[in-house]
Amino acid sequence: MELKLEHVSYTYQPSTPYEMKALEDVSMTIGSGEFIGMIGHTGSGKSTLVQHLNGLLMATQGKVLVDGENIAGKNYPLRELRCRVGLVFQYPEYQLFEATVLEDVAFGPKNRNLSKEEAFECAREAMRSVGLDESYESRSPFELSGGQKRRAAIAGILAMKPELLVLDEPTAGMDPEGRGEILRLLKRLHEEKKISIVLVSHSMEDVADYAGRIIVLDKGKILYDDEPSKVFVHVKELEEIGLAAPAVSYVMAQLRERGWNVAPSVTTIDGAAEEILREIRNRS
Amino acid sequence: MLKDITLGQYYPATSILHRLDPRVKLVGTLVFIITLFAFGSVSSYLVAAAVLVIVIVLSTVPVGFILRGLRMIFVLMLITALLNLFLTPGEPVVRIWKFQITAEGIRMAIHMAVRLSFLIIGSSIMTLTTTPNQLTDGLETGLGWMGRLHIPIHEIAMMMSIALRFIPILMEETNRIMSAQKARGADFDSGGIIRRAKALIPLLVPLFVSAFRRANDLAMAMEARGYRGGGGRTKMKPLIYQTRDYVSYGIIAGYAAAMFLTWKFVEIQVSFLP
Repeated sequence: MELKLEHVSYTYQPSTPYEMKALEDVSMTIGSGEFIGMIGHTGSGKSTLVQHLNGLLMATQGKVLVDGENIAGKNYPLRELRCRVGLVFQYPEYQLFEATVLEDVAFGPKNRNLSKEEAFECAREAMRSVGLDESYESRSPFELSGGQKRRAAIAGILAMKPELLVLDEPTAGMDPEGRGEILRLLKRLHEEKKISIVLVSHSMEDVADYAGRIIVLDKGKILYDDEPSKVFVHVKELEEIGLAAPAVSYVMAQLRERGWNVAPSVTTIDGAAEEILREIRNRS
Repeated sequence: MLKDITLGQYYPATSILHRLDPRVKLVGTLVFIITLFAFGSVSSYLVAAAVLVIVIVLSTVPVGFILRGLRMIFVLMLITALLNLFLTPGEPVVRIWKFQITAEGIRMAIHMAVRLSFLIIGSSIMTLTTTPNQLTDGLETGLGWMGRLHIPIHEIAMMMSIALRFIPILMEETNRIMSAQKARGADFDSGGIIRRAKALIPLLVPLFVSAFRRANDLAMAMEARGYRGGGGRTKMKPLIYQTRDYVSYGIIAGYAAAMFLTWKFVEIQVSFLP
């Protein structure tokens, strides 16, 4: 599927003293099979933007097109869209409510009017793909650990078999091990199941390691929309809006200052190691 | 849907009304309501209406904002008016099947409608110009003498301010969970009443869980900072009466007297009123 935003603006509580412009003239296209990282400071409009992708919020100005069709149209099947675009909110474990994990994960597919058996089948498959085996099926979601809860909640979205998966800070408040697990899971989903992914994050490293394209938001506007290597060259500008480039970008920038001939566009640790080795060989 | 509730909402501004001591505003509102019901006549309503207009202008709150609160209770007012209209005994004017509208009924319905809308507008102005914290502060200080009667006034005030503080938080939480479940295909606005009630389970269970979690966290945070009830607790911003507060008390007394006098001595005949 192709998702297109055309000049989208959004204002919270218009014409009250609490009026707040959250998005201003945002245009972008999300194609099939992409892995997009979206970064921005708190209050930059990230969370507002992702809610436009599945029609939870409707643009005050501009339009959102899915395969060319405007989702604000009167008879647009919004519930179907919400199955195709799976949105995982921040702290998704707070939305668990059923008595067992299996039933909770099956909530989405059930709303798709599948039979109970089919819904459970989808749920089991989703649980397997997030690494929760059969022993978790009949347990209460409230007795799982934090990381397991988060994975169960993500499974609840995956069970709807979305074509595009949007995650709002899926690693917030997790330990490094849990973060690694979730990010590897996303990578696997992207590579094996060909699901497009939009990953909203604070962490430059996460985004730089996995995303093929990065969108930087600031004060409700798109600042950069490009490959990671091209975005992270702008170390100074990113710092000005309260963000930082990955640590590797800083190392590369410092090396260049000292006369090393390394590429500034390297963003991953492996790439940096290679680049430095190459330069050392060149020098000797 | 939830955004339309203005009752209890605060409108940030710096008008004279916003700066007034919350105790004055509480007493003023109380006097306003009592006089509305005790001295109800066409002439005294005119006095009350004039006072309302002056107060609204002084508060600098947009009129539309105040009236939005009225919209919410319109149904309630309609029901009250209908009940009064049909169920007050007296001289029948119109007969519809088994019901009859009496002259007294019409009078009563109009009286109640005026009183209720004045009451709502009056108390909305108080909450619009007073933050919930000031309000409970005012209650606590103003009713401090009740502590001598072994009424735990500080605890009641603390509970009130926590409850008020949590309204917007829980509303936001409700919106968030609603969006999250909608993202999973939940449907909150279609189907019959039973289906709708059932659809609320995925909303209510997480909401309760999170409310309990928040209450727990808050209790712990308060204890960690040494909170152990009201005894000997001092305030960062104690309430102290200023000149403008004493003047306002005078104005309130004057208003009450004016209401009483117009009710007692000025009679306005409205020809279409029986």
